[in-house]
Amino acid sequence: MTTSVTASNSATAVRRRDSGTRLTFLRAVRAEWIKLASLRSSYVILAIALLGMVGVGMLKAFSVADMAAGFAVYGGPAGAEQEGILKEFGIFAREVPATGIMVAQFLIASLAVIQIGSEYSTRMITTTLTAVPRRMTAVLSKTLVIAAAAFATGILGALISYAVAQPILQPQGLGYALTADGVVPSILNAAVFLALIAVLGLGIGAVLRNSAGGIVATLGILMILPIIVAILSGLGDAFKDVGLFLPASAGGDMVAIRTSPGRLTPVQGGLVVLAWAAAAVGGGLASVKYRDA
Amino acid sequence: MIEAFGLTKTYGKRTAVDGVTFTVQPGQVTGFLGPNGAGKTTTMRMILGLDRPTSGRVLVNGRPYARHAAPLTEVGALLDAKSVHPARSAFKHLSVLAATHGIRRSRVEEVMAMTGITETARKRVKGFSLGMGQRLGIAAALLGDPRTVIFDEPVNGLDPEGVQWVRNLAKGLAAEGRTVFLSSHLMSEMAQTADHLIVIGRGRIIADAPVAEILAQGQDRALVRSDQSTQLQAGLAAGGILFRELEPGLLEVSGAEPRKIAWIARECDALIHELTPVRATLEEAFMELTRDDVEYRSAALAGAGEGTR
Repeated sequence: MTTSVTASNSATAVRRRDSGTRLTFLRAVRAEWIKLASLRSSYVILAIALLGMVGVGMLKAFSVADMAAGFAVYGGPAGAEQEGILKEFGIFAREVPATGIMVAQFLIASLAVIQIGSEYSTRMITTTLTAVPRRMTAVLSKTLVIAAAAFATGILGALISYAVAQPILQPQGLGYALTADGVVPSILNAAVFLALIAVLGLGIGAVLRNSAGGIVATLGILMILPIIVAILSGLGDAFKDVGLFLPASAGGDMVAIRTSPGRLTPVQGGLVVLAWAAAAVGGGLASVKYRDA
Repeated sequence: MIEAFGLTKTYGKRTAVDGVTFTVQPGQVTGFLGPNGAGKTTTMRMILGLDRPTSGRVLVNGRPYARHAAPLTEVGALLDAKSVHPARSAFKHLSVLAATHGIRRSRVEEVMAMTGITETARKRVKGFSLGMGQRLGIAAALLGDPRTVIFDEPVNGLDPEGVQWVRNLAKGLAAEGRTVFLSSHLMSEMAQTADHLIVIGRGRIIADAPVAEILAQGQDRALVRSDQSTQLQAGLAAGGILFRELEPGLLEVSGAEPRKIAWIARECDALIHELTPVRATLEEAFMELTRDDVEYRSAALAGAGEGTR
């Protein structure tokens, strides 16, 4: 065992606190967790995200049940084709738990932007970077905490959506177990998607250093960019493919129970969203590391 | 100990800090004195790595701040008391900082008691007065029991009792062997607290010396009352000594010891019946030092005022 002698000035023989007192990544994560948990706004936004997720899941469940009911009353093509349509309803039903990411992503993204945007607006960032002067640690600990909160919200929201949807779907014979084909992966992917969207928001917030601007930019990417691309796709097929690589669309593909033709597979969708998140957090890291606090 | 080597910070064309080199020694209170806008805060932010120097470098306790294993135990800093999320309570704010270093909860309570914020610690910081905010900032700085303390304008917003408390705190920390670096634009404040002064003006170090030495640099003057004022004036002028006549028979002589004045009076046969040495105050010494360096000269402002009249 080697003993490293720290260069200390002999004149500064100040009594030190216990030797366990030092900065570590896990401790920085814990501190960020306390930050998130000690603000009422965090709970409010996460609760709305959860409610939104369950609400949208319920609406989807009702619409699937309605379609199935209508189909039962009016009947349809017989034989193999009928079986195919019923199978289709089954897929719709199993997509219910993850549907809520459509709305939850906006709230999660906003919360993530605020996590760092508010530090700049309140100058808390000065305190944060004094306590955690290693910029990578400062940004990554924050990223990890908000991503974990988003992931947990996604899992919880999907599970509640599942539970709420069953009584709605069962009368149509569309009830299913959590273990049904594709359900668990879809729920996990929904949570991963929300976690990545949180990372995206945090990265954009770190670059723009402003909550309002960051939220506008992030929601712009999630909501407005798809609209613009949709309009442009009328001009040429080239833009149709561009649309596939937007995070909201790729997120939809991530949680799909069955990949539709011309869409991305869940893994491909996940990689697209991951790329967006990585680019944003990379920019955020550079901004925090190289620009003055 | 803080060691700055050729520390420079420019913002576009403006040079906020211009190649400053200084050492802040442990065991004493070092005052960082300069008019507003002289570069004090920027220098302190560079010490903590919040701003990147354009050139030069600065070490705290032998290393760049960010390279320490336990930064909060090396440096405790109060830069801007408002660097707090207003919706969080003081206790939670301190808990966050403590968590980064695994500092025990008992220490959080200790610094809250030391700074007198225990009673308001559970309330949101939003409602804090300037003085309470300052106390919270000091509590945060002391949390890691740091070897070096950096306070930027610590007495701002404090009531007289709080000012006294900060002075004693700074002296007490220095007496324990810590490095204490305080900035202020108030000379009177530094005269009360500091042992050593680093004076900065327009981003440059103007003086770096013990307070006593800086005081000595200020020209000592003497008030001389004489019945033969005209003779005495001639004698002083012949000796190359500067003076001005404050009123008939009363001279203010600068740059000469009382003994020398008395000798001259004797030689030119002038009776003097008052010879009062006037010690330069730190205020005057400071004005003398920064005469050419004050960013916003009061004379210029006065001139502008006249112009609009």
